[in-house]
Amino acid sequence: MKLKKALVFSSNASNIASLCWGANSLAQESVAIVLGTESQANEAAAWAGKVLWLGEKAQGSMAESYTGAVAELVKKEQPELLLMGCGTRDRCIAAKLAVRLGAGVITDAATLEVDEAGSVLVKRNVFGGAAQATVKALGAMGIVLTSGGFDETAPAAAGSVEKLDVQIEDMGIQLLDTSAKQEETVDIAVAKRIVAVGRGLGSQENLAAAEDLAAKLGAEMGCTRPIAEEQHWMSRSRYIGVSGATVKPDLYMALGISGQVQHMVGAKSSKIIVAINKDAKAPIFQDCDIGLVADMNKVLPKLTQLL
Amino acid sequence: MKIIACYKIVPYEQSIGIAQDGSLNFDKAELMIGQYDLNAIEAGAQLVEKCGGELTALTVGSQEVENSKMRKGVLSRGPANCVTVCDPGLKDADSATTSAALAEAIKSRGEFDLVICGEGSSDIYAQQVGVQLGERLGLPCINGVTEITAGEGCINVQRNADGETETLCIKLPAVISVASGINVTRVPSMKDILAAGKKPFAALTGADVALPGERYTETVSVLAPQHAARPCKIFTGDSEETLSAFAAAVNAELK
Repeated sequence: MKLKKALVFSSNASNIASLCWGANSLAQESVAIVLGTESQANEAAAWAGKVLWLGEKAQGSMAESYTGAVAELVKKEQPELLLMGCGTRDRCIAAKLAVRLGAGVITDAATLEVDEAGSVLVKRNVFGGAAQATVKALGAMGIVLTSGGFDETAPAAAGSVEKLDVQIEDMGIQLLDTSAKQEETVDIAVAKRIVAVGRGLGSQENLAAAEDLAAKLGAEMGCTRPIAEEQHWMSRSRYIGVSGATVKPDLYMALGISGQVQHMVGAKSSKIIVAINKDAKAPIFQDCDIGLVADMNKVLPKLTQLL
Repeated sequence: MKIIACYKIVPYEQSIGIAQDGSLNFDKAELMIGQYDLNAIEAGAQLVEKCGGELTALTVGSQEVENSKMRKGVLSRGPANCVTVCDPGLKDADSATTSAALAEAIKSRGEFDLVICGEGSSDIYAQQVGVQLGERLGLPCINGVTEITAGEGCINVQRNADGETETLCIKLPAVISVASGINVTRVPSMKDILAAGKKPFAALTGADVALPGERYTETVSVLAPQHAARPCKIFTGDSEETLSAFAAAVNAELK
């Protein structure tokens, strides 16, 4: 079964096409709300039956202060589903919309479908990836956040663009400054080989040895959350796990990684998992292809020669 | 500054039992303080240590919130006191129900300057409760906060949002959720743990706090994913022989 109408919005206009493809596959009619340039609005019209263009974000404003404008459009359009992206801003706007519109929010949808009764069913990871929940949106409209992955679908008819004049709201928050994040960004999701390190690596000297090993193997470096966020040995974009990247390389070599489910959920699609850890009881030894129980200090440089 | 840090008591993932059919068994599951909530408690504790004031820890949920070991764990990390709201109706609450219950609990406690939530709960990790809570209280609210500095009637924060770093001035009272990288959470000392047992707490129930009736989502099923077992060929030791055999096994896969 298909829904009658799905609405699409993202504070990041480059998400709109993929979200529209999802909306077209789930609903008879798709409407996109675009906050961006005229050309972004026109592009969206190729994928949505109708585009409601809010114009470009006003200088010095935050996308979040368009929440009220989006809420008014949702009320007018009365869709059964509002599809949004998974970014920080979309999460913030979705939370505000949920309260204002009395709607449920389901985030991080892995898959989305409409059941026979016309309800939206979403599958998403829970318990750090140890399980997957199927969640149903109740009420007149559900808000679902997804990072996309839909097949390309065209709307029934090419869309029209309607330019709207909207007010931005006072959130009690003043934007003093904004800058592009000064951090290395790596798309580790596409790496064919990954050498990933965890706290069990021990010292920063061993990190250099791990980097040598990665260079020898032609592998990207990856890490667990504590390495990126507590030790700050690597940028957050190299962090693999439930709140970080999901990878599927041919080789995943885990150095000093215990194998907590929150990390492994990001690595479990790897073809071969090789683990080195000094703790023989580490859970990773129950979920690897090849393991070595040994002291990292003693084996790293030698392995770089042998592999 | 009067600060409230919200937290959730959740089952420790590795201790959840998984049956043959993929269904989950919580009989032997250990409890833990949500790992991202520890960042919220730490952020509150650091602010109070720097600027003075008082930090209260607050949680809502079913019977797990009254676990004394968990409560002491929270109180040993900086809060002066703790409020728990326990009600069977809060079992498996989604972000709407949780944020509504937190809002009612906060309204019943009087004035405050700042509410801090973690990035998301360790079990559901929808990353919704902080902003939903702020919206329900009708206060300025934002997510993704990576640094907090107290100002006059406001806080100045750094925020990471989708590849941009923002500097924001947020009028108090306000509700924020902090990014998991905002701080490194403390490991409580024996002294902290002993002192935690003597700190005051209020154990409230649905009779003390008006709880939401309506639910907006329904969890139809929760199943562990089926995954093929890996061969787990394990080598032990660091002798030349072992390392050569290990390397040969890895090299064979790399061909």
